Amino acid sequence: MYGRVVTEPSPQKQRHIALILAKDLAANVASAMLLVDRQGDLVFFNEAAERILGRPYAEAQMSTAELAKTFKPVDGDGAPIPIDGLPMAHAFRDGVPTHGHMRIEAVDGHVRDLEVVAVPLFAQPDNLVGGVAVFWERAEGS
Amino acid sequence: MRARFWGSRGSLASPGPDTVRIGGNTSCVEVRPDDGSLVILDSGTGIRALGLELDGSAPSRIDILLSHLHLDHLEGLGFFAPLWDPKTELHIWGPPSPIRSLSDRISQYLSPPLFPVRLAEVPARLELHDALDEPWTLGSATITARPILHRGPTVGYRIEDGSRSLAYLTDHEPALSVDLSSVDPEWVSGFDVAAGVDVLIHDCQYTEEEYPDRAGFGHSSTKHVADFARLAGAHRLLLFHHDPNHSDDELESLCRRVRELWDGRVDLAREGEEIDFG
Repeated sequence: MYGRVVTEPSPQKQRHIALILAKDLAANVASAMLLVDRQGDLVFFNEAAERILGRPYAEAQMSTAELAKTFKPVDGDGAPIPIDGLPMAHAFRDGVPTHGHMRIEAVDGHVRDLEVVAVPLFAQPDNLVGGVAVFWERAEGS
Repeated sequence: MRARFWGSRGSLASPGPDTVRIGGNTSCVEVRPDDGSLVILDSGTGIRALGLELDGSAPSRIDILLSHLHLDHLEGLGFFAPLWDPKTELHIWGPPSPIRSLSDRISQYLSPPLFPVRLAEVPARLELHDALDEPWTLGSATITARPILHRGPTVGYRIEDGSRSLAYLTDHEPALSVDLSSVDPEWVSGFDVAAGVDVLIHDCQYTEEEYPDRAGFGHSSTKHVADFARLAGAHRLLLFHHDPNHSDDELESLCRRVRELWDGRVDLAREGEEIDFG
């Protein structure tokens, strides 16, 4: 008998290799980076991101909805950015890297003005496995 | 399920007096699920002798599962006798690439000037498939393929047949930038392929002393493989992808070191040896 298995495979415990590699990269660079899984849920951010977000990753594991609620992203005019308006949501929807600008309220109480580039991670052209966002504080007056 | 090693050497075939006990042929493992079908893991130089043994008794369908396309896993394919028999239906599975088809990548080797005949000209009926991202059946066996950490597109295979299971992670560096003795399994390459498996065939190319100069080459040290086997909960570990510069004596020393580090059953993968699933 040759063919695809029709029964449900056992649930996966391991992240896709593309996410594992992205986490390795994030853990070894000085740029602030965060990773989300294919559902858009936060799965990791690095030490540089901790400095901007004001909280260690171990204390910050949460869904995208919780993430947005916690950091209260707003646009340049101060209007709240809905979850589906965040750069990662655009990147997932359009399948291309997306740039955005937002202000967030970090957990340490500071308001930070950020540039964000969100990149969808495709293991294959039709297989989205997650995404990575690189972000940095805007220089004053920019 | 039965299985037998036809080549367990890594990187380059290394015949000679120093490798005669463990063997010098590169990666090839014959797997026989209970229904008698033939599944072959990789087509390194070891596949030549397997092809000769099959002479006259080869099943009409043969499936070759390629872990990746580095030469030591591919170079025997053109010397596999059933390839030259028009009665053979040969299915070749390999890691998907986001850029090039499996056929294009294999043809790069099986074509002039590297090989005298083009892949399209071989007599066997060839079908090439990207390894699926969901389990599939070959005869009575269920195959699962997952991308793993090595250089370039590479997959590990898990083969389950009845109550028996085997994991094949021939070129694999799961410890690259993580500490396998403390990391959460969800962040470990190859974990899903190897979890709870009866027999784990795993890369063990380097000693702990050799590894630091070769980090990032895509292979594992004795400590890495011991940590990985423990994390995965494997029942038996067979050390594979032996460094071509390691003599039989050095490999036996390396095996003793893994036994010190992990208390499961550990052996060297030896050419010609059948795998005991007991």
